[in-house]
Amino acid sequence: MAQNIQPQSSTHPGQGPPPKDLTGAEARPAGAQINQRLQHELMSLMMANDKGISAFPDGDKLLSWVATVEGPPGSVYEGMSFKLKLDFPPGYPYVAPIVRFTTPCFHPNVDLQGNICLDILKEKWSALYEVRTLLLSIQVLLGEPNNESPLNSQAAALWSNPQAFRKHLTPK
Amino acid sequence: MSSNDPIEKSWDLSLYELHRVPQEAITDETEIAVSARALQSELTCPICLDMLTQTMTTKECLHRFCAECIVTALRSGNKECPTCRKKLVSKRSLRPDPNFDMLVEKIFPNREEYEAHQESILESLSRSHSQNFITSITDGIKAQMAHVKALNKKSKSQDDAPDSPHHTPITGNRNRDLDSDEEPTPSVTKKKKKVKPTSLQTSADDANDSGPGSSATQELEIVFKLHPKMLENKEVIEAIKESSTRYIKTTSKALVEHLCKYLAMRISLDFSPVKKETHTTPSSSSGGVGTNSTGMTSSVKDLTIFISPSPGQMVELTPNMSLKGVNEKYWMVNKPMEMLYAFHRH
Repeated sequence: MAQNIQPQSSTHPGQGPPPKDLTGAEARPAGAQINQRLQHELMSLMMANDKGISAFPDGDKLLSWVATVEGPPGSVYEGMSFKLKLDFPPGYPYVAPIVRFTTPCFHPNVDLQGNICLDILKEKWSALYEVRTLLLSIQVLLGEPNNESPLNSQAAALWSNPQAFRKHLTPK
Repeated sequence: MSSNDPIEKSWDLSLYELHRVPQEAITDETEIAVSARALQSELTCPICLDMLTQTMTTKECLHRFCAECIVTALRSGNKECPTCRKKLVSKRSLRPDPNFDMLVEKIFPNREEYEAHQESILESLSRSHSQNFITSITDGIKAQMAHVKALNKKSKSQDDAPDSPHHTPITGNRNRDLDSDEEPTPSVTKKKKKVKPTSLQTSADDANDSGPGSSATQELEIVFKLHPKMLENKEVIEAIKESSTRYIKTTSKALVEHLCKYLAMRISLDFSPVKKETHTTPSSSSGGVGTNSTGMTSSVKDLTIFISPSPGQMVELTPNMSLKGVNEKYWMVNKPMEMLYAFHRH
């Protein structure tokens, strides 16, 4: 412990319980924890009533959700809405959920299977992200793709030409 | 604190103090309540979204988490603060914050109560969407049970009546059931109701198993198709061509035997009604019901049921097998069992 003492922590009154206590705190079953967190998320999502995003558990199981994201206004996707599927692994929220588009989405960072290339879904995931923030991020990604690392190179090439891109979006 | 020359200290009012509207001092017993919700975001762990337990604060950026949450987060992912991505090397970059725990305790002295309340809200919320569905199911089950009970009562009184001595396994009850919905293909649930009371009466040892109380047990869906060899029999084809495929949903406790009897009954109904009338037996005093029954029992014989676990493969089922057993032995896929049937005619 000694080498950790820094100016602000030495004045800290609560030097108290050693970190050993931490192990005792992990008594709650992981299943209950994830359910509780998802219930909290569901509630805040319903309370927040964000524009353009929505999500709800798929059927009775809480570990799989269906979400809808509307194309951001002013982007080529304006007026479109996309369905996504969110699967929460047992390690959630310490592990990112698996998010996929179920509606076909022609986008530089979405492949033909609906997989999304988004840093916060991979290495930049943080336990603080939640369904709401994820969906907002995805909504933003729709309007502002990262063309540096495209999953769909055709979409990336077309991006600079909104008219041609838009034509590609509307079904023939 | 210790000023050297307190006398020189001037007590001018600041600009703010000169302009602020004075607040009324609270002199009576008025209490100002701050709602728990207003404080919630400050006292909530952003990882579990619950109230902070055993608060840990990051040394660098002073973000708070439950001990359990932040330790798991560090162990399972990036070594950075979940809130602001500041580097967190290990648990050593965290400090327990008992003052904060005390604060939480002061604000929520009845924390357990509060949490239980929160939980109940969440539970009702998560249930509400499936609630209607569940109630409708339970209502349905109740209605079915009531129906089965009513049928049993009726059939008992009918069994006691002295006028059905001429056929042993098939009682008047079943025939009446079948009669009641002769023309249209009955709905799945209707069929289920019918099969159960029948099994109650036909085999006494089975009665305990399939009593009304157990009607909530697992149910199986079955698709019946005509056995290929039956296709050669033109008369049969003509009579039942439209309804040769049948869909049944029934309890997994029913035996193959029951299905055989049921099918034989249904099929005999499909042969021309004229035929039934020719078989009229005056001895049955229960009117048209008894009349039809005699005709039906005699028109279909030796009905056998096969299951085809894979295309082209057919296994004959023995009468004393339960549907549950059949399902486990031959099927085990989550879709309706496909069965074939064959029979002879008189």
